[in-house]
Amino acid sequence: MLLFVGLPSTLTLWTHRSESIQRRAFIPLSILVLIGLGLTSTSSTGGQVGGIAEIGLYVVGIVGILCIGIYLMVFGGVTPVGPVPRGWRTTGGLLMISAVAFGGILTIEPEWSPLVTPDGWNSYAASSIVGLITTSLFGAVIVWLYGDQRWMTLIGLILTTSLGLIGALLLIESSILTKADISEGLTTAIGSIFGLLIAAVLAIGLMVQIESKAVVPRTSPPLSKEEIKRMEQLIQANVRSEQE
Amino acid sequence: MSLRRLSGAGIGTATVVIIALMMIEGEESPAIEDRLRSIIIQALWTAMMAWMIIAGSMLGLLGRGRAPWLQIGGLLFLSLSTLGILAIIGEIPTEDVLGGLTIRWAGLATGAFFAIGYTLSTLTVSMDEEIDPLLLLGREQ
Repeated sequence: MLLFVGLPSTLTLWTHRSESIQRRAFIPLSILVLIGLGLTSTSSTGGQVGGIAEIGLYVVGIVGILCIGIYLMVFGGVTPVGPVPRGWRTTGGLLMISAVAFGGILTIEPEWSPLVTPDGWNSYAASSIVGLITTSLFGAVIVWLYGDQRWMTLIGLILTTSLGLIGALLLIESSILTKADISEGLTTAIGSIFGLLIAAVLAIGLMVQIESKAVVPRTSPPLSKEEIKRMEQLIQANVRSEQE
Repeated sequence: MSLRRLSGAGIGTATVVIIALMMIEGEESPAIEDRLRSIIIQALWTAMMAWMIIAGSMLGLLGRGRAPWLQIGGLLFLSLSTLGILAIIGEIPTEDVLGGLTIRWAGLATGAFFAIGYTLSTLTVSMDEEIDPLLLLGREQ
């Protein structure tokens, strides 16, 4: 219930305007939903939903570290708005690497690690790799088309894509991930993109249809001769007082 | 950059990604009919949830005339119709299916977020230091 109603509901609240009551309720409700998910994961007896709640908590940790890292990396450099001192860029880079390392440790599950990988984590890891490869490659093509000699970004993105592909192959070779995990991730990625496109096209079409049939608000009648005369008098009076 | 070039780049990249990942799948790649069916069903699930979230996000506009009511009603109708289609073809998502789907969506979003964040950070690294033209003028004098 929390996962399938709570999370979409909080997401819906987040889409409201910042000064609205719904948006103000977003943070406390999100915290309540996360606490609920945490309680579900610890009290579960190994069911699917409990597993997902456990994965959700790890994902919140990884994404949180990643967010802070990206924020420090982006705003610690040469930006028109730079609220973070320059020295923090290295810390941001380290945090980004830590987030990837944390995800990697959970996926590989080495013997020395005290962390217990929740059920279904492989599906998350495989989807992450598919998302990483797809977005990096698309980003590389965009940067290449944009030009402006952004070689460093281009090389970085090609390296990320290659590392993602090599990583996927190595994880499959060492039987940590299965080919079926990658296959499901790919199918979900394609299906989700198609679904979002269909949803966007139909929603925009519906809104345009409804708005185009809306009643046009009544416009005010044109100014009468008396009103124009009064306006002229006011302007003349103002101009004269300024000249004096 | 024109929309035409962008869509061309998108289609090209998508083709390359699909070929690369299908090569990784190897002989375990599912039959094309199965994959198409799976893609269509997942697209319907995604669209159904997207319409519900858009309808929910418009609730704050309800006091602004008839149009928001019609739009929310239309979006909910689309969402429920999709649920109906899924019921007819016997693919209403169960708790387990929704669970798996949530995990995969979270994974895809995390991967995409990392790539976007990395791109932004490298773009800001390669930016040149902006010098205030007024300060430069002062130095010249």
